[in-house]
Amino acid sequence: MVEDMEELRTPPVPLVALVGCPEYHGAISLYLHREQPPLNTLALPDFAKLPILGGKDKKPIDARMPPPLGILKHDWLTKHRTRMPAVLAVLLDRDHVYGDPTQWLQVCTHLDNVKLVLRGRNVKLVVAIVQPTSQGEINEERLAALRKRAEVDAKCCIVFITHEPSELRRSLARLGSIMGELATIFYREEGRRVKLRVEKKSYSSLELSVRYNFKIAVYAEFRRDWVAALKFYETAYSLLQEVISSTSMELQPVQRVVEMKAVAEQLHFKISNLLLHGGKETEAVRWFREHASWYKQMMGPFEGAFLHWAWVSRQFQVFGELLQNRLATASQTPTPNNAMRGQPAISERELQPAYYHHVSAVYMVKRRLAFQASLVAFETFEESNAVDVLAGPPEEVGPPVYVGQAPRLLKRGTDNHSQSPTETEYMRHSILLEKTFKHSVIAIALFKKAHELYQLMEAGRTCYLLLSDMGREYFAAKDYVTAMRILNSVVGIYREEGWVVLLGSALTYLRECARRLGLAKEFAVYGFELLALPLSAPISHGYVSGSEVDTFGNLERTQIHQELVEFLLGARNIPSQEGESAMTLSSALPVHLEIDLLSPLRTVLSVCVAFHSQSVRLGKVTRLTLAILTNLPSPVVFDEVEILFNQSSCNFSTLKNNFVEDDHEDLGSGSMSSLELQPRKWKRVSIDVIAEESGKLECLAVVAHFGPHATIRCQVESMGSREEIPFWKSEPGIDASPLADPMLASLGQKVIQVEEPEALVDISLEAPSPGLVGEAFPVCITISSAGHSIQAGDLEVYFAPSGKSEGGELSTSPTTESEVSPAELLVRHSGDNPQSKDNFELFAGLVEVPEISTGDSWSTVIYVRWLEPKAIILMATFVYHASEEGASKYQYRLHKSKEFDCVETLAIEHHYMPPFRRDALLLGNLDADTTGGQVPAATLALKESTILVVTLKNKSPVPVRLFKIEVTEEDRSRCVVHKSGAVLKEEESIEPSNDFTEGAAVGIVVAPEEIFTQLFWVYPLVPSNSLSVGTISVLWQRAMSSDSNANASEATIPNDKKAVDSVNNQVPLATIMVESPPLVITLDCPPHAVLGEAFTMTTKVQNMTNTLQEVSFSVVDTAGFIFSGAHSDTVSILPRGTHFLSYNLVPLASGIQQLPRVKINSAWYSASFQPSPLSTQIFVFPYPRFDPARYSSIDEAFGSLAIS
Amino acid sequence: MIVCVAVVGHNNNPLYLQSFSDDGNTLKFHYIVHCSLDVIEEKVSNSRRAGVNLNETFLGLLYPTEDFKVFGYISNTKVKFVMVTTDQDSRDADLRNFFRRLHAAYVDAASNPFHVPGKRITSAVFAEQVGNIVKSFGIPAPV
Repeated sequence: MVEDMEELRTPPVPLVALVGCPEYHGAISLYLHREQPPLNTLALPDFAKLPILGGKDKKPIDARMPPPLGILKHDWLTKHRTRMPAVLAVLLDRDHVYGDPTQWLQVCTHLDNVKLVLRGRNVKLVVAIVQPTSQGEINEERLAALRKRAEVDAKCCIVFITHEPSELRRSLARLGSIMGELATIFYREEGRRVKLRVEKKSYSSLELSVRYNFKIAVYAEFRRDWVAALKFYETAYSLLQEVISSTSMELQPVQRVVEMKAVAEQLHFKISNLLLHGGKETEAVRWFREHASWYKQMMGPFEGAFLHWAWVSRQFQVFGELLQNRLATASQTPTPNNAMRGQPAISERELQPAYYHHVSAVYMVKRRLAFQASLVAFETFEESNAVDVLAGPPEEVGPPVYVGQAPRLLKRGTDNHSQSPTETEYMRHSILLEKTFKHSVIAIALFKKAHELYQLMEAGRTCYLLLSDMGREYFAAKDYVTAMRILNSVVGIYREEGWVVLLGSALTYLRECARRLGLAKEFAVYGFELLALPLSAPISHGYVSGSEVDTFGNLERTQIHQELVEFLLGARNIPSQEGESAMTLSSALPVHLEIDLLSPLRTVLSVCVAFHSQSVRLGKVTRLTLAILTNLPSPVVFDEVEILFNQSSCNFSTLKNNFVEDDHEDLGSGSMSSLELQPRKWKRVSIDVIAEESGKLECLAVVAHFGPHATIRCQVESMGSREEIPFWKSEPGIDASPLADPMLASLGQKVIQVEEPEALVDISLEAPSPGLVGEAFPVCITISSAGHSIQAGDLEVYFAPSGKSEGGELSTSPTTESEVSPAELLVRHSGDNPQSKDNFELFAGLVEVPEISTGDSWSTVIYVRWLEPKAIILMATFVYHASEEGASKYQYRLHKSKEFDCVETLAIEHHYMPPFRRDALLLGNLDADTTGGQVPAATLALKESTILVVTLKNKSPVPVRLFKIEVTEEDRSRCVVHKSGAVLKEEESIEPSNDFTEGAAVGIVVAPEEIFTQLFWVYPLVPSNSLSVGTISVLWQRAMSSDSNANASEATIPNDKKAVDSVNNQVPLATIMVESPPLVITLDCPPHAVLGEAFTMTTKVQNMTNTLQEVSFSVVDTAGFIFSGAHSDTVSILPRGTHFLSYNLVPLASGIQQLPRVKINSAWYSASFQPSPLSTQIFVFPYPRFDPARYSSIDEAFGSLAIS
Repeated sequence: MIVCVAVVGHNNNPLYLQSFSDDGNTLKFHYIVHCSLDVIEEKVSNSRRAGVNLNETFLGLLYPTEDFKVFGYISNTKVKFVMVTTDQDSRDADLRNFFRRLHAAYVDAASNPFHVPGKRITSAVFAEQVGNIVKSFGIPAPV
């Protein structure tokens, strides 16, 4: 019947017919079809085909007529759409019309034939004279005769010009408009005719009223009068309801019921379509609601129930599709209109196609159930050899005459009544047809469609309902894998939101799926979860899919529980799918259930544990209490319970061990290895645990055994941090405190810290602090037994840089510096090793400690050598076994650390100085001064002695003994260095520094903050821009002063010189510039003068070059002296010659006096030289009391001055 | 006729669901009430978006199923009351009155010191009160 809907779906288009001149039919049909409104064309190639337009003879309506056999003629609409034209256009060739009398006679015959065919019917006639051009004479007389013959007025007789494009277009337009007009008139007249019949009431049957109103509506539709069409469809619809109400549906034969509903469907379809096209969605929904609720009760006889549900399902589906199409094209979404003249409100859901698809799917399921019931009855009473006559060959079975009726059996006779099949035949045919129908596939497709649409609306829960329905339908279709997959996706939301009953329903199906698929583990999981649900009321079966799965009440719960437990114990087989072997547990098919903290099975078994203490010593007993809860409805007994720890040696099993404490029961009764749990009651048991390893001891899981092949492994949680089961939070009374002891219940943890046994040993790290960079800093490590006698042990010593950073240190790249270890650990060589210049070797990190008996101690010395002044933390870890009884099993461990600071010892600085009052004119020096950049460390005169001053400052807080300061030359052929005051012998040094063993007296002790200075002579031999002079090396040692002897460290470090080794600090001297001076100026002057006594000051200018040098000089006067000699002059000095400038001076004032300064200027080099004021000062003694000759030293002379 | 009354907590968990239908099939009512939460959410978010009726607790017709009509009401603590009826035409005033009384009964039950908020309501008194409210639905209250 759905295929019939297709012609109802589109509004009917007026039909016109063409006859004659077939060559123009194509063009005319095309034009008429494009007309607005369009016209369908029935083209008859010649006049011989005219009779197909012929209708039957109409009988006058008579009130005494029996009611018709059906309501709507099956082919009436088709006839009017495709075979019954409203207008017939006769195309006549101009030559024939205006031609010779034979041709004219032919035309007249054609017209007579046409009139004969149309006689008694209202079909309009149009005559078109076809001529190629608008030219040509017109025989008015012949034209009038034609009109008269055809009985048409002038308007309906037109000229159709074919060979002039503009005229052709005009002709077509004229033909189209006249035909459209006539078609409208035809349909109006037809409608009026039928309406007149209705108004006259010349018949008695209501069925005819329905039919006539339907016809009026269709004619109105042909005229595109939608309002009238809708009105008459509605009238027809309500008249049909009257027809139905007048009889009892249950007593009607199935065929009759089907027919009435088919007509109702057709009428309602038209109404909905018209309303929706008119944009009245709410109106359409309201109509549909009425339609559905009214006809839903019209089920008819029981055996045809499935046909009824098929019909209802189709109503929803078709309306859903119509609505969907409408919404897809509508510009604005309809809004529910609540205030519509007191009519019931339309909710938003009813305006959604998804709703209708869903309901349609639900009825599809009902159809399946009803059919299954009918099929059972049918197969029981059906004769085995019955033939389905309606499925016979096409020549024996004809289409029905009326809408909704069964096909006719043509062999049965001629009239309608005898041709219709009997009720039994009809039902047999329907059931056999329905057998091939795939209910589940269609239902699932509808559910899917609704699901997609609801997903777009973001109606999540409705989507889950649809998925549940879908899953049940898959279950019904025996597709258990898909059913399981879909239902599994549903249970999450029900668990989350706590809809127990809905979850229970889904689980019931899931469990059944698992059973039929033979999945033992899933069967157990779903069974357990189902049993543990906090159900307060029994779950009834699924209301959609009926009772495929049994209801789930308390009795069933007990049965399921028993079945499951027996299955897990291996005592029962679970029958699987038909034809497959039953499910049995065996070693090949064990079941292991895993319950983690998020598993829904936590309601089945949840365990929380608490250690009674927070930490325990290795080897000591600690107590663990477990609280176990089950929500299963009946008591459950586990054959064996294991408690697993992260240290497998602690694992507990009821087969091997016993609980030390068990609440409410005495330990003597029952089997010791099994554990019985009461529903919803905490079971508390305690065990004693002895940790075998130090570190963390954590209780991981409890494994409960059911028989030999089934286990449940349940993850445990800490009593203190116990969280509520994430599901069923809203269920009252499900949670109680697991332990009676509130302290343990709120603080108990599943983890305990296992500490190592206490080590009865002391370690001390002793050293004189702080350390000095470079020295081997001795640290004495002493292990003393304080209770344990040590059997054997290992001492591990290592260090780490201290977190405290040195403030003033400038580090260019901290990353590379951090990689470099600031210090190293050393030990002294065991024997004398002449190859090594050092007495130490790197420490391996581990020292074996020999046996130490109680009360004894053992010590060793480790040396730290710092490479940079950074504090370090020295750590010592001692691991040992004690030799005591009972304690020898364990390893004891002791750790000690101490921070040691380190400082830089000596600050070594140096600088160069020219000899007193002897200066060389150094041009490079002057150049450098002028350029201003890149000052070399110093510029020295070639082959002149220069003084190198080395200054040492003790920066450390301890006194330091200096043994040797020397400069090692880089290259003796380039530069010679020798110590001031020493004879120029190469190997000799001033101190006997290599021999330390002589006694403590050697060397010089430099106190903290004291400065020590040493002078060297440097004699460069070659000129150079950068000459490496050599390296200063300083040999020093921490001074063992008498007060440090009193220190405690002295007691631990043997007072042996070998313990403290000297350190050799090496500082490279900065590179120098060496150049040959052109002039060397020496000032010669007595060391002091006496007031009033004349003395001579000579300035010696030496020309060091091989050329003549012109030198000008000038003298600056000073107030302290009068002198004789030239004030300024220019002299020439011969190559390698020396010029003397001598002045006789008489001091005029005593004290420190500035000598007159001689400024020398070399013309050649345009360089001048003036000695510094400091080097040209002299002390003048007052005259006459002072006689410097009387005193042996200057100090003495000063002393006498003070007295005088 | 009212066939089902339900109270749903603010976490969308069922607090109370009672069927008054004769066929004993309560499962369908669970589904209907659960799905009605979608419509309640829709309505609440729509009215919030439109910025109107913020103080209106009565939500009106939520949606029809093929046999029933579902009405809703939401309290200011987001506790939802859902009623399923077979009547095709119910008066708005009756519905509002019904929900008001149901709300009052819920407040009484929740005020019980032994009731833990958010847990399912097990009170027999509440059940009895709901039964009375359902029975008197549509009958004008005695003056």
